[in-house]
Amino acid sequence: MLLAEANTPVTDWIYTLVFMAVFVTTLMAGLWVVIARDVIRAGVSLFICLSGVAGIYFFLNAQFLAVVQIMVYVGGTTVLILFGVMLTNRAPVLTSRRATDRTLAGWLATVIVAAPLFVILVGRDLMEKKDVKTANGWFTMKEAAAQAPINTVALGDALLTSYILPFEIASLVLLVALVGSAYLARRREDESGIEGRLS
Amino acid sequence: MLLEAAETATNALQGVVGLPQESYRALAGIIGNDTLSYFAPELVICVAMLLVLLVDVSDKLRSPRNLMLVALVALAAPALMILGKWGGEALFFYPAWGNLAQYSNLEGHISLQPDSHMLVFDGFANFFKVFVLASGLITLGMIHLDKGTPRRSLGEMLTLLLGSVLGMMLLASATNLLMIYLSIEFMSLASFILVAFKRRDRKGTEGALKYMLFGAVSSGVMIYGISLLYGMAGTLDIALIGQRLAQVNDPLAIAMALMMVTVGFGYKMSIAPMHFWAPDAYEGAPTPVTAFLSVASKAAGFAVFIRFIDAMSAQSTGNALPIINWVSFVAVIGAVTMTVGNLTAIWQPNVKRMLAYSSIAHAGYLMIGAAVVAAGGEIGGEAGARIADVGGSATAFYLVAYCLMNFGAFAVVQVVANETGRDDMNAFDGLFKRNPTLAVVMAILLLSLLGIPPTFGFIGKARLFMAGLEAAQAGYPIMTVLLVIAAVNTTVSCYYYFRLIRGMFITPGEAATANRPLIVSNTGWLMAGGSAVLTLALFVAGSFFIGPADEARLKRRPHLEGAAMPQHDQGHVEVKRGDGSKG
Amino acid sequence: MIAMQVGGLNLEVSTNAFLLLSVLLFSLGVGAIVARRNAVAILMGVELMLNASAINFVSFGARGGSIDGQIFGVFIIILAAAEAAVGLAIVLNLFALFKTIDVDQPNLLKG
Repeated sequence: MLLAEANTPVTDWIYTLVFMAVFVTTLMAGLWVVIARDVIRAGVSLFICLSGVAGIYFFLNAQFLAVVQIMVYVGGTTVLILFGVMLTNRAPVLTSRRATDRTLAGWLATVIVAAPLFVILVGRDLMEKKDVKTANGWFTMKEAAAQAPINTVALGDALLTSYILPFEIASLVLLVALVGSAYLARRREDESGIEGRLS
Repeated sequence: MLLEAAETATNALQGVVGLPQESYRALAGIIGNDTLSYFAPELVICVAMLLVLLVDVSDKLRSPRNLMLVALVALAAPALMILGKWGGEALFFYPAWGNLAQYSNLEGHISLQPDSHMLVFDGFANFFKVFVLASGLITLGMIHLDKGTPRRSLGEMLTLLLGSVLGMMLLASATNLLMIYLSIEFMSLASFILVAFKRRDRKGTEGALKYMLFGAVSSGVMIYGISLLYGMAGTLDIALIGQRLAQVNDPLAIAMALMMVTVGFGYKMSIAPMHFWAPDAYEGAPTPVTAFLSVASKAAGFAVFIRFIDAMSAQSTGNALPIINWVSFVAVIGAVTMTVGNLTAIWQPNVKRMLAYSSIAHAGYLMIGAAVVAAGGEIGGEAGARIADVGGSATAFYLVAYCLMNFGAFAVVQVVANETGRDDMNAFDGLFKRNPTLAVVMAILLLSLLGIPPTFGFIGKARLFMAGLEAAQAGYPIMTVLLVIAAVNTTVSCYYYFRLIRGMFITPGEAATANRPLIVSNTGWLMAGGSAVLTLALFVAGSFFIGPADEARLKRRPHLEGAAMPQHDQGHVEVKRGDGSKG
Repeated sequence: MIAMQVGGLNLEVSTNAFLLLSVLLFSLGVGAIVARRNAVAILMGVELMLNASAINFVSFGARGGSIDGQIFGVFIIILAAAEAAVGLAIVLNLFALFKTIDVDQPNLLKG
């Protein structure tokens, strides 16, 4: 926000530099998720990658989302995944089996997916056709900051008005996920004896 | 001076309470328009989910009977409410949807913005909701029948079942991509756990893992497709997206986006490239869950897919240029799906797995209906709308037949598994000697799955074929090809259905149990026998309605009119603020 | 001024940069899913895909001046958390039964 509001050439330069640093870090961490041999390292890179995405949200003037990303995604989901990695650490796949024979297929899939998406999204600039404000297709962050609604207020407004139904349904989804995963993960004391049968 | 101060104070107060006020206005708008009453069936299920959890933790109330009772009411009451609202019309045989026009006017509740309609309550959605609720009710019977369901975990199972049903109901009426994504995740998350429900069962856990990984990946692909659609159209409302895509001159981007979204729906429908999870999940899951997923989950997938095709077709865009050739696309995946399903079903030694592949094949047949809807959308105008309605109603009709025969067949599998503890083909050998009625019941259900005349399955298939012929006559030769492939596939499917029938009637069973009668509980008779009797009865009843297929239709919401390109200058927030200050 | 001097490049950040990141993260996610055998690693690939979509939503939203994109981002984060919880519960259950989380190892279901 502060960065986006400042408008001297020097801050512009710093701004761009920081953006590039975040960009490269995110991308490298994402790459490492794929190529790391060790799943734990992949998990840690995922942690870094998702933090980088939070940084990207700051650049998109989505501060609230950036904070949610850090608190829920990085702090919650990624830690959960790391727990999963640790708890299954004795699995032989980590030590004995390397995903080498599938690496080529993986890279092939990456390229096959990336090529058309690159053409669509980056090569042609999907939004250029829609956006009436920037004729040349370039859209600077300062413009974004000027255009974007005041973010957290607007987000709260929208969540409790237009999006109140999905907002409420999301709580039920979380309830179902909670009940379900608690059921699957809880201790198995009920399985030693004879389970009661229905009817 | 005093007035000014009062005004300032009022303004300040309005600023503070502005947000609650707007929420209230959103809710009041619904109640005022009487639209909340349309959402009441879903609310009943929400309450029931919590009630089941409460009953489950209460020492006094906790008993399987009470839990089942709550779930029974929670599924039956909404179905009756929807049918009541529907004007008491018979499910879909008669066309008198005249009173549905008012439903369309009341659409899009919980929104102040024209392009943030979340749900629509039209005849199409109502049909699928009642369908899903009925499947849920039958599943309750299956759970009652299943000796393997641990009694202690019944509360969790019913909560998850209700959650899954609620997700499917929301999906049937979702018109907003956010809502579609949310509902798909809702039903998926509940189903993942349901498949893994027998925690110590290795097969179930393996099936659940494959189901979950496939689901996570396909929903990831779908969400990326949705983001592309959002990027191109600037809205999440599917009708508006359909209109705006017509103005985007980038076929590659549109095709990519639509295909990626279709991956997510295809996973739910278990169509060809996304079907790999189905046999594993169906074989591993507890039989009631298998039956529920193979019927309700598939139906919900078809509901959203047909709504999506309809919105994305040229008809709604008012543009002669088709966005994507949906007819060929749907016809090709339909043909591949039914062929893969049938050819693989032949080799299956396990009955549940065979029925899983047969359900994939049936998804392929159902794609005929979806292709007809797509053809109607491409033709456009009155004639196109009529053809699209014929396709939609044929799909719905076939789903009812499929529901009856599939649930019935799984109920028989369950009865046999209760007795023998097995679900492979050999467990059915000599069934005719052990329990002749059950063998006849199973034979009727299998013949119905095959689509042979004295059964409802025949009527369903005939209507699908007639709908397909209508599209073929309207200038889609590929539909003729699809129908020929479907006919050949039906012939192929004779092999594995008759293999099971031969096993039941001719092959002698294992010596030890060959002459011991197989006892069937009352629930078993109700589930299996009831389905078989209905299958035969509806053949007679259904024959009367097969003629005027064009009359039976399930209306979808009329498309939004006059929506222009996105007005980026006029953000949602400004619009809402304006409304707020007036109120 | 300084911005113009660095290698003569235009250092203004365009939305294309965000979309480029999103494309690359999504494809890497697909690559991870194809290349990995470990169930948790596959879930990591899915997380990459979901984040790529969220970046898309937020940048399209910023460009259009609409809040919808960010709303979708919030829901993606919520549902990813729910999905990870359920997914890991299943994976841990699998580990308890099979002593492995290699997706190719359990093969009781065939055909």
